[in-house]
Amino acid sequence: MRGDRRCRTAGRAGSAGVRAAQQLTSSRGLAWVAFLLAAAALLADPPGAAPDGLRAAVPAAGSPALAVDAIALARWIRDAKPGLRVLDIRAAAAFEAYHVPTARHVPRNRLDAALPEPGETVVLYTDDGATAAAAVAGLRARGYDQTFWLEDGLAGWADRILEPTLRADATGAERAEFREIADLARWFGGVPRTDAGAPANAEAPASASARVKAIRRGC
Amino acid sequence: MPFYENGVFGDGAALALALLIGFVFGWFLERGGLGSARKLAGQFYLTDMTVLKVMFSAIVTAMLGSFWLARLGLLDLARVFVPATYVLPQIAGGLIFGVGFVVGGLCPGTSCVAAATGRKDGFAVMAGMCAGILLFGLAFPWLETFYASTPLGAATLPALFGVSRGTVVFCITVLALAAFFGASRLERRFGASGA
Repeated sequence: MRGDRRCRTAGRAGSAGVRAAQQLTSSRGLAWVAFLLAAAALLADPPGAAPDGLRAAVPAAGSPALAVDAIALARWIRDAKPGLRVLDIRAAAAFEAYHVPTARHVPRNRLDAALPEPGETVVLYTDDGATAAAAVAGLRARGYDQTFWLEDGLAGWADRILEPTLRADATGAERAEFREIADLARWFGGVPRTDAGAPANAEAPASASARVKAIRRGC
Repeated sequence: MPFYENGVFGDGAALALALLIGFVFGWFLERGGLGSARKLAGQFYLTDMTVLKVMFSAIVTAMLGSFWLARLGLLDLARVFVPATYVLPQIAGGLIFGVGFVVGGLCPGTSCVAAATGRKDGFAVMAGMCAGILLFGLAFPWLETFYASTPLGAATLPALFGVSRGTVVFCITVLALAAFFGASRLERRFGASGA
């Protein structure tokens, strides 16, 4: 008898628990849970509190652009811009295969050990740029304003520095600009080309072209 | 902490996880009936507001989850990538997306789900989507100026309105709950007469 009573009591408690769980997971119950969590959020972070974290992620007017293109980076490297550090955050094997001259390899999860000091400019790159862009957005949010990602990543470097191409219908101004880019490309061992596919300078080293192909095989 | 961006997962593991998450996402979309253009079109006739409820549920769940995980010190929101906002190009993109949704009855994700279950309209919408991507790519040199116009940077609502994150979380949750209530009333009114 006593056992039956215990069973009935446990059964009642169990069905009450099931009913409570059903109520909690019903639409109305979930709405209440959401409302209570939101109200608690309002109390934890009241209207007067300064928005933290993500506010800093919005670049202030006049803050430097997030990306730097391959030509600008090449000029920085050639001109030995003071305080410049170029970080390759790809896999170590990819870094060994080819990297931007002067770049140092830093795994993505070790970026905190390579944060820029005051007065330094840091450029991050990956193969296509997206991962570096995300990393730079995170660093900018933490106040590291002189941090940039290489636009279009190593693929952009290959296109604009290792194998820049002059369009057949380029204007006079574009041809003049290309001459400067071609000089810059040769400085890095690149092979400037015309749209027809011929190297703009027959004496350009063949090794750079092989490197371009090596990078593109990975894309 | 975003695991992939911080190198906790390698490329292979990230791709495998993406495949798994995509499969589970597609499975739940299909089980929720969102692989059917008929159900999705109900949104525009006010007879079936499932899409609105699913979208707002996802937004509120992710928002409350990320807010409280950050509050508990388990997630550093400053390290979460916020995509850049470009006001006019994104309004134009939203309108094109909306027109495509109304005409095709499916959006990109649900068209893949519909195609995976063998629905012909799913294949048609996917073909249209691929054609659109190709056309956009070909036309990009002419669109580039507009594409990069009216930039706001990595804009967030707390930063734009100068209020705390808790305030935004509360307001959006209340808005979502009001939308759920309104949607249910609309379904009762138009769903019954439409049936």
